[in-house]
Amino acid sequence: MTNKKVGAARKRAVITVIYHVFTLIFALVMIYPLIWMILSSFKDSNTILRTASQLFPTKWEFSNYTTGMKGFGGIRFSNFFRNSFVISGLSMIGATISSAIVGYGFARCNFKLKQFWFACMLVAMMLPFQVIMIPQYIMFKKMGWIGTYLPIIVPQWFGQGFFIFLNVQFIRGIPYDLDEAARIDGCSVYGIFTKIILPLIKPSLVTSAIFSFMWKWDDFMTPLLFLSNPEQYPVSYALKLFADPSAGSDYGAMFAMATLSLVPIFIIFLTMQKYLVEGIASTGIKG
Amino acid sequence: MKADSAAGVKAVKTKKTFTQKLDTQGVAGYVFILPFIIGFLAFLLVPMIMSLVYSFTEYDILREPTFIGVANYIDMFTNNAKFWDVLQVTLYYVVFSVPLRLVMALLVAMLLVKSTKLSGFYRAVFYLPSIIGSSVAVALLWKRMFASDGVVNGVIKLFGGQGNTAWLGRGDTAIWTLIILAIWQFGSSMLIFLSGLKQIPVSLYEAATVDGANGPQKFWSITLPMLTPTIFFNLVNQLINGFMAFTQSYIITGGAPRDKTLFYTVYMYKQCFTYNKLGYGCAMAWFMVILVGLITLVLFKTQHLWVHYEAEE
Amino acid sequence: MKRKILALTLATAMAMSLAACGGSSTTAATKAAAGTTKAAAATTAAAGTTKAAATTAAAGTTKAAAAGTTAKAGSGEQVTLNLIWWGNQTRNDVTKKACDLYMQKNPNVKINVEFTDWTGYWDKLSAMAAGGNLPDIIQQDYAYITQWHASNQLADLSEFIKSGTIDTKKIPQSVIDSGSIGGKCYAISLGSNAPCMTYDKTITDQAGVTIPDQMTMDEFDKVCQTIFEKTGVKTFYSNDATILQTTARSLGNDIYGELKDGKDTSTKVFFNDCATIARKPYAVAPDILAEKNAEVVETKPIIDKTSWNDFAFSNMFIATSKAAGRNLAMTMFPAQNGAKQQSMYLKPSQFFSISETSKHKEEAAKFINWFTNDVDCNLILMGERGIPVNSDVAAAVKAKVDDVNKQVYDYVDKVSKVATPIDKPDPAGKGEINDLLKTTVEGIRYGELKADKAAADFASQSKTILEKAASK
Repeated sequence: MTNKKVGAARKRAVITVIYHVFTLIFALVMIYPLIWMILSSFKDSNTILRTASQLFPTKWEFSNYTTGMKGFGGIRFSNFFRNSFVISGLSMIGATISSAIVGYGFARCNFKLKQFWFACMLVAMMLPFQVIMIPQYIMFKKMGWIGTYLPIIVPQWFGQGFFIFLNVQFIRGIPYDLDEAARIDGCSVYGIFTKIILPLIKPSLVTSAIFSFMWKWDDFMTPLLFLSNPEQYPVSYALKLFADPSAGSDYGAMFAMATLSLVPIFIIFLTMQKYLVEGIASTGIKG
Repeated sequence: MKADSAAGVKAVKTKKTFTQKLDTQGVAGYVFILPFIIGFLAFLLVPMIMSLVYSFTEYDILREPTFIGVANYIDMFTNNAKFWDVLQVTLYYVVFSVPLRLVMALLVAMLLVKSTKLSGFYRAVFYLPSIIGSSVAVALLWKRMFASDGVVNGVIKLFGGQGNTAWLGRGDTAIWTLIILAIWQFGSSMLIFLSGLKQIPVSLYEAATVDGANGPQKFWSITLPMLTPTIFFNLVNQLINGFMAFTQSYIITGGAPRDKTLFYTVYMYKQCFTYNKLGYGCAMAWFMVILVGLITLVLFKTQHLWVHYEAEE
Repeated sequence: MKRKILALTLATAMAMSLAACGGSSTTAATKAAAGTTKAAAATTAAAGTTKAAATTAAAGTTKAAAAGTTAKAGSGEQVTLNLIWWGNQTRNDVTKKACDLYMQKNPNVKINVEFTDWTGYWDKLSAMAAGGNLPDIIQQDYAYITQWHASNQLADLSEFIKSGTIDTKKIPQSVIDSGSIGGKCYAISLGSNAPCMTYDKTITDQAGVTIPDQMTMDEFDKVCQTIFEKTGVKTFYSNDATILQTTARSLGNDIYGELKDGKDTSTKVFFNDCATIARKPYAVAPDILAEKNAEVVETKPIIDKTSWNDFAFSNMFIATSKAAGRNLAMTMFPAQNGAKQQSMYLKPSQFFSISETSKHKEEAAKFINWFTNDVDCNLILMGERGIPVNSDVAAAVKAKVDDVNKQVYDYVDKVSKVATPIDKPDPAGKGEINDLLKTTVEGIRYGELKADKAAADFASQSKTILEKAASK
């Protein structure tokens, strides 16, 4: 009997080791391109593409980081980072809150024209930005919003199709029993939202938050279009300025700043994904 | 709520009715989706209508548009071989990249659902590729990796192959470099699957173990059915994203070789801004909306056949 | 009710975010204001409107007394100019420095700069045109100027040239002509450029060949053969509109004139050249060419010695040399056998134009004049956009540049001695034709298309494209 227990424990240990080895190797293969980019940022800028097959730099250079931080036209790169945080942070808060609210409306309430509005939401997701960007620009120009962060951030506060849809799917997975129980206890539709549903959709809220932050962090189209003062540029857009196809690009500086720009994302992801896990181990449904 | 008292002071009665009204689904529903409606009307409706109108015009952005009726659409469907080519390329891309990406995402999510000490780190690592998705760095790297003297060929040589294919140079293989790129960036789908997996009550698994079910049985009878809303979500979104794929084609291959990797949206973008035919581009865009809309509609209408929502038993 | 609290939180959050947005733009504004006041404090008394060709360094450092802005007509009022350009870090930095210098010398002028990368530039500019808020001064390109002029977005600069606000004494007429349409000037060139075939001198030396200033296609063929036999390095032959155009020019033809009529005379010659070369043992394989992007400096075939040569423009030479990490040399594009005329020409690398909607055209013209003719300014810019068009300025800058850069000056100088006038600016529809050209030549390289038939098809398709584009 004790032998069996030891045997079982050993089996589990072996499985754990195999699991970690496999996952680790797989992970390394997955991020090889990223490792390449990070290590290349320590190579001399002109040699990066020529020595692309050698992963590790022969000489470790830090000049790319200093060059990159200088930014453009006297505006330091740290400026661009600050701008990115403002844009992404505010967008994240707005998108998460508004999409949760709207999602609940679509998922739990029945009202006239519900299908119609839901369809509108989906259609809006399907229209490529390139075709609405000129009309949007003209519209924002008339509103006097060009040159500010408003066209970039404000629409995020009115619900984003992807996150609304995400919340809808999650809420539809929660049985009505809880709703009914709350109703009997005297909760209104609004109360059910705040007291019952909201706590239960933590995973989709966290996912919405992570994604909305990341996507805004990466978004360069809207800053390109709507901002005019280079001091307002976010990192996503500033990175592109290191490249000019005809006059030569400074890939070293670009990679250096791109590497730096990964750091906050990585940290935010690491801290927030905990809530994905802690979210729920059980939804409180008994059997 | 005591709705029994018909009698009562007039003032109290009206107050009750208003709050009661607010509390009905019909009204509350609108209250909740109000942010979306306002945002839609304010920021999206006008540009959307304008782009639809433009599709019936000739518009080079720098000058006033001129109305030409359905000429753009007619030219698109009957006179432009390239239109059908790019549609075909995009369809090929979607048909392969979407399912492969989803399967990859699900497998890795299941691999990482356990909360081990390193799971947070692993999840971050597997998600990272999605973040640097549209960057110039990835474009450069991908071109280097799949070059005839690149890493991929190097690995093939290690395993005894010839390893000198120009993956990006051959018409039949170039598109696969982009498909592999799409699969590599499964991070967001993976995260959503993780969320979905976490939502499945552990009690269900415990009950199944008690009943004597093994691993695969648990997967097919609990995990998969409970995951169908998430699968549906990912499927719809990845489909839409797949059809709208732009950056990979634009900055990695530029459509080469011979337009075999020219995506629909890239061609549309060129119409708008390189050839200065914004009207034509809008026509292409709206055709895409209708096409993708129809596919999505079919998905939605048939979801009752396979998607299982706990709430709507 | 809970909902009220939620609504309140939303409202406060929005208010905060708007304040934050306002905050960041006001900080930007206050910073800019602080910048100009600092400059004003250290300013010289130099008149804001310099009409002289070369403001020497001495004038720049004189610290004159108060006086400041004297009663020069119009120079007393505060004017804000908006300037937009595309570029990389180097260009952004030096251009901004130049603008700062101008603001120092002209305290009544404030220049708001905006810079983007090349890929986003035209999207942005189009949007601004559509929205009616184009900046006063816009950087323009030869390929786009026709269109922008045709839609009346560019201001006619002829009056400023006539009045001397834009001093053209030291600028060759051909340069002014290159920015003119219908006899009127709409754009001032920022630097001269010439097509050049870059090559690796080490490889050619190794093969024992000397590359003359210009070869004929026959000589070119022999050279490529020798190099391949002696060193194993292959040859690259381009597939873009530039080489098609030079082929046409060599034959004494105007390519876009031909295409407008659907004639394939020059195209046939070019496609046959491509087909012949593609079949030679010394040609780089088509799939290798497809995986590189010859238009981007870092991925040109010459960089990693896939080929010994490259077809480009002279202003890419420095970047190409840097990326290759070795010394390269320049020669002219090969001429057709029995060429009717010299195909080489001088091309403006970029222009500055003034938007028609600008409210400060005079001030903008003054800035462009200073940017083009002032030595101090160009010593900051260091010919980053191309050889300065003002011959005195070019001489001054050339004295200070490094050896690689000097090669460019020498080459452009050589070309200017034999160059024939540049073709008219590209017509509308050029973008689509260029794409069609590239894919057609790719097809020829892969052997999927036959040169003569491809030429006929290309010409008729181009005719349609040009017709449709011109009809607007």
